[in-house]
Amino acid sequence: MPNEAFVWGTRIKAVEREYVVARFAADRLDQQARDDPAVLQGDLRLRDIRMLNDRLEGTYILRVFAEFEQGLRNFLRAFRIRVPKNAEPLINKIRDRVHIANDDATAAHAVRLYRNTLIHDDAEPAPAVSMREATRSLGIFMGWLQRYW
Amino acid sequence: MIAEEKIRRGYMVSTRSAGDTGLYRVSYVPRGLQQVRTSGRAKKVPEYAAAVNVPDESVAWESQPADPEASVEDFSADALRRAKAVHGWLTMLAGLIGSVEGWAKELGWSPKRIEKPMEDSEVGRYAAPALLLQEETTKVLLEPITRSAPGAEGVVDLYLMPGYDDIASLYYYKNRWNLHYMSAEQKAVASIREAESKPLTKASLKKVLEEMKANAQ
Repeated sequence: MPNEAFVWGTRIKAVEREYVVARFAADRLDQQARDDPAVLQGDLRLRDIRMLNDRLEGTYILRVFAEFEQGLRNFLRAFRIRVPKNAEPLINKIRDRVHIANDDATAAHAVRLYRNTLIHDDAEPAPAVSMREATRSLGIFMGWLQRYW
Repeated sequence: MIAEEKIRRGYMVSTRSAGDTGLYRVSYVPRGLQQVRTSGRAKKVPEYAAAVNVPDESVAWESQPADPEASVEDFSADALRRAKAVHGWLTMLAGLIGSVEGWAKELGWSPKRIEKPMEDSEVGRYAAPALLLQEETTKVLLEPITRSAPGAEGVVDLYLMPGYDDIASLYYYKNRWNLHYMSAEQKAVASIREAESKPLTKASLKKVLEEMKANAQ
């Protein structure tokens, strides 16, 4: 399995590129709808577009984290290591096995915590992470695996 | 529905280089076929594969497709079209990767080729070369992005690794690779595409790599 970690890294970056496209499209739609509300069809309202814009980055944070998590799970499976069910022990297990720098693991956890804020009502509010920061942090963590996978 | 559309919607297609220049294996696997279980073993999903020779424009089937909505001739035309498109792009990339690899070595960087899986709605799945460059602790990735974009015949991105920080993009137009790079002294622009462009040469690559190295430290 040569370059698996590299492939997962490029998949993470590909989600960021998709986000850039989606952001561009959503901004254009927002501007067009403000200039001419008649472009809105069916039940679409301006507030729906604003909602899309407000939540777009969060939606892609979920996507990019899901991609990252799947990559980590596949890494452990490839080496026949038991895969923890939750993301926190998953990151920690790989951090310990691969001897990943604490700062890099903490940055990956920061994305995880923000992801939790986005999807779990009862999660402790975590500082927001931008898409660029998320891709960078998860890419750096994944980069540690390239020596082995 | 025309045959080309039927094939595009109905099959997962992959195009693999078959060793010699211009030879490809194009395979078609029907989408969404349920695996029938007989005596506990899953029945294999059919795969129709063709050996395509791009310079000769010939197609030879290893296993012929049988589809009521598209003839073997339709599949052959489709396979040749895909192989030609992939071949054109991979040839263009091979020239780029070869040049950058050579220049990088001369500039003291260690290059490593990596195969990147690609997916393209027009040609299906294929693999393209990427290039990782390393100089001490600075790593840079040259990653193929797409074989066509508005105003360009191919796009390759340059990232500072391992954080995938966008540094520059290479666009193929005017029959050459052009480097779009936001240098430190340049006025800020909204995107790398709008940044000042220069033909890709050893000198322009050297400038980018030196600035990347300085930023990484």
